[in-house]
Amino acid sequence: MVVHVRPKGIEMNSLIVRADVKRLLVTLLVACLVLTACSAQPTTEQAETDATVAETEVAADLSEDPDSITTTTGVPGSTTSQPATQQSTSTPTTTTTAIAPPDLEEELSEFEDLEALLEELDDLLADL
Amino acid sequence: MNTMRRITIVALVMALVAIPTAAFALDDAATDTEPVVTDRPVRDAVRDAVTDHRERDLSEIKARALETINKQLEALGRLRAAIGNSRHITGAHAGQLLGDIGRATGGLESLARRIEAAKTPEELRELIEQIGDFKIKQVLAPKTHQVIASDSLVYATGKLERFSEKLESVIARFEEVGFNVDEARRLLEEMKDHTSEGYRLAAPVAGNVIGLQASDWPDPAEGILAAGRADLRAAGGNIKSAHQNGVAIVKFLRSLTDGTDVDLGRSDVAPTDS
Repeated sequence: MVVHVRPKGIEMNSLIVRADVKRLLVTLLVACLVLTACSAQPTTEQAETDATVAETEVAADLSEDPDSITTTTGVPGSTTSQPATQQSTSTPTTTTTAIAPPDLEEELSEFEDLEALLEELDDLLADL
Repeated sequence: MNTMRRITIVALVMALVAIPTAAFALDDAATDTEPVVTDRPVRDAVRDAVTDHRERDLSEIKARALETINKQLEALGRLRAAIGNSRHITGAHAGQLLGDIGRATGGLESLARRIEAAKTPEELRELIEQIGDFKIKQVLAPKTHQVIASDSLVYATGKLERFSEKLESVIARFEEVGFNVDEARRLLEEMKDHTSEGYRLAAPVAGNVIGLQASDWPDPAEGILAAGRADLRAAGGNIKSAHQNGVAIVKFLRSLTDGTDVDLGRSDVAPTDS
């Protein structure tokens, strides 16, 4: 009769290897979860880049469209046009903004004395 | 009977001879107006009376001459005041005219002193004739008024030019807003034409007349002053028309904006009362 006797040192070694493999698998699992989570939300830089691309595309569309939005700011008569930045609507909208004409009283106030000047001239011409 | 007839004839002949003789005698007595000086005191009294009369006449003539000179000096004072009150005469023109007025004033004051000192009618007559030589009314007064008017009209044309430039910019802004401003532009062109014509007529007058002196009267001063007067009046008409155009433009623009802002969507707004 043959008796196989397994030495005790070998058994201990196999136990150690098994524990290492388990730790490795857990680490890999965690890493996978982290990577999955990261891939689900883009980074801030990516978001900014995406927004710029979108704006450029909309602006290009609007520049080809004669009905682009025109807005007026500040002083009457000085109008500025700028492309729309809203992306909520798929087609550009046309709006009309009221513009006040120049204030005649204010613009021509320095010529109010012309009437008096003409009266003065009348007197001078009568003296000739 | 014959005697009676003879007496009658003689009487008639005597009457015919006597009446003309008496008439001639009366006539001679009437025409003899010279006082008959028979004694010395009476003759001296008459001579003194004649001298007094002549001196009184001389004083009256002097007084009248000095009054005329005073009127001329007053006229020069008014010219000086007109220059001082003018807001638009150029400094160079004012200086030149004041120089002329100063010389005329000095000349008249000197003449007044010589008239006061004159002793004889002949001397006085000669001095009085010199009053008119200054030609205040004919040359100095009209040229002063024309220079003042010319400079003032030039100033007015400059002001109207700035007015039209401002109106042009305002009209352009009304057009940008969307109004039809064709009428305003037409009025503006007319305004500019009137203004430039007014300047063309008025500007040269001051230079043309300011050098005229009393010795230039009547030729060439009379013609130059008449032409200057006509040009200045025509320039005044142009300036008035230019101003009326400016006022019409303002009224036109005001009629476009009465109470409402402008909708950019409407680019064909017509004037309501053009």
